[in-house]
Amino acid sequence: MTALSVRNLNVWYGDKHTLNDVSVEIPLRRITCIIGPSGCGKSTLLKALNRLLDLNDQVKVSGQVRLDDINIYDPGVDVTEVRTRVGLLAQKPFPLPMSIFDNVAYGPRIHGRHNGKIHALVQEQLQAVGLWDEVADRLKAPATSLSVGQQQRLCLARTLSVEPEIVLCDESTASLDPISARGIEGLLCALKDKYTVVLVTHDIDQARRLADHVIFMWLGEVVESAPAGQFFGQPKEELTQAYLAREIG
Amino acid sequence: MEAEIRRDGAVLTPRYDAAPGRRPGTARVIKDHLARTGMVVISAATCLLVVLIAGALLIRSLPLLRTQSLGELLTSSTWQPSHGAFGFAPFIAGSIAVTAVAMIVAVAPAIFTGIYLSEYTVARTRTRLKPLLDLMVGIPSVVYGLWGILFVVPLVRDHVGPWIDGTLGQVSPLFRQTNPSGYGLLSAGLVLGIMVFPLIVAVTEEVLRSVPHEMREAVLCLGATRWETTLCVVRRRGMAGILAAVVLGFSRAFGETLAVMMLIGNSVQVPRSLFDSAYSLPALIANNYGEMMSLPNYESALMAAALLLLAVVLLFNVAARLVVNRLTARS
Repeated sequence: MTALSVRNLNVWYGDKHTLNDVSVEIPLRRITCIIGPSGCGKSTLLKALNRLLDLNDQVKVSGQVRLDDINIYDPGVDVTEVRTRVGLLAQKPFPLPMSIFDNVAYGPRIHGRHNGKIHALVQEQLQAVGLWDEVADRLKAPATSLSVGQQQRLCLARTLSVEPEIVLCDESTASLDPISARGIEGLLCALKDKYTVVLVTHDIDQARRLADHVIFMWLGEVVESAPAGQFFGQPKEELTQAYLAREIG
Repeated sequence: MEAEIRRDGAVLTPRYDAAPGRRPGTARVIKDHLARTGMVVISAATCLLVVLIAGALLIRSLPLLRTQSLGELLTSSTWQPSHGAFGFAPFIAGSIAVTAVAMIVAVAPAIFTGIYLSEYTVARTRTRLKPLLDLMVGIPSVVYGLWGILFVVPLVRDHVGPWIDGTLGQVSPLFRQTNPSGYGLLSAGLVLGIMVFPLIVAVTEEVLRSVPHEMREAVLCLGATRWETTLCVVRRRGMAGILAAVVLGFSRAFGETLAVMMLIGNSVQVPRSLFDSAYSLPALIANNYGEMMSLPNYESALMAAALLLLAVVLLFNVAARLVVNRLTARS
């Protein structure tokens, strides 16, 4: 089953052709890791999956990203609906300048989804990311009072609070200490029963630990896309073999 | 001095202050001290300048303050220098009223324009509009004044005035067209509003654009609309800066002299209607300094007016700073 289908996607930043005819399938309820060296277009591909590239008016996009057989780049598509269904966990934790509670409650509030049970919803999401016990007695404290690792878990809770189907993670452990990073990795593994996770990482070892499916990119093109076992065990492309052997990159 | 390698393989890099006989940093340290001292002196001189101006104005105001109490000066409406009566109430009321009209005209449109430029326009539009705003800030106030005389005064006199008088004038005397000349609070306030508009727009836009991009991404990725994202950005991060923009606009409007002087009518009276002519504090000083200076306490009265002007702007800025600090701490 496919959660997202990318077809002939091209992205230009001004005159720079950043993504070149990318076509990949993102499997449903699996962790897909997008790997490759810096500047190969990993984050651009990720942000193309929920139309975050729209925020940059220098960017031109052609091709299709199909979600439920609807091309999210079609003119009539509701972008807010796309971004509700395809959430993002950024590289650095970026809690909104409000309380811990309000960070998680903000999304359900704007969608009017809480049915008067906002406290229960916030508790559920904070428990899902293992933060509830640490913050239960200070929910009204500013989110910035948390440690960086806690902030990233809070951001994950905030992302999950609007019940997305797909969670995009843009090197979401890169700015964390190893223990916090492992904590987030554990959470992502636990999420895949319910969510499709797409994780951009430059860390091959992390991809080995987490990925069910791997997409390897090089200079704006997809070199290889395969199930993790096949990708790491028997990579087909010479470029992939060289990258995994750390000879290039 | 070379690095020392210990037996365990650790490399000890020499520090400058640990190297006897080698203190090439001395000249650099002196330069550093000089630069720091220079900057402290310049900064202190700038602050001292305000104190010196206020001190000079106070000293020159003392002859008047010895003969009349401050309360009496601020509340009396009688301005008859030849009889030694120096009531500032009409000028204070004129300044407050014309500034209020300007702020009512300018603040909301300026904030929304700033939000539009920061949150909604593409870079190309922004780069075309911003020089236009900068140009508006740089237009000399005498040009605004002339434009007001040629365009705004006739507009107010022949169209806006009769219309407001015919509609709202029945509701409140504030809207009655009491002055058929067109020179008055509304004309001056409209032009003053147009003058402070680009200033508030520019500061609002700068403040909002300084909010990290990731914050917008975080909100948008929860499925928020552009407007919800803007509200979140403005309420949580931009409010303090927007308040600072409004205070800047207020200070500019309250202290504006020439354009107001050309349009407000310069009648010593407490205005009762939007169309009344009035007199502002800066206009009082600019129109009268150098004339009739032989009258006892006349110069002292004008100095007291200047001191009052300075005090109001300073107080407003300090109060706004306190509110900005509180808002910043909260966000």
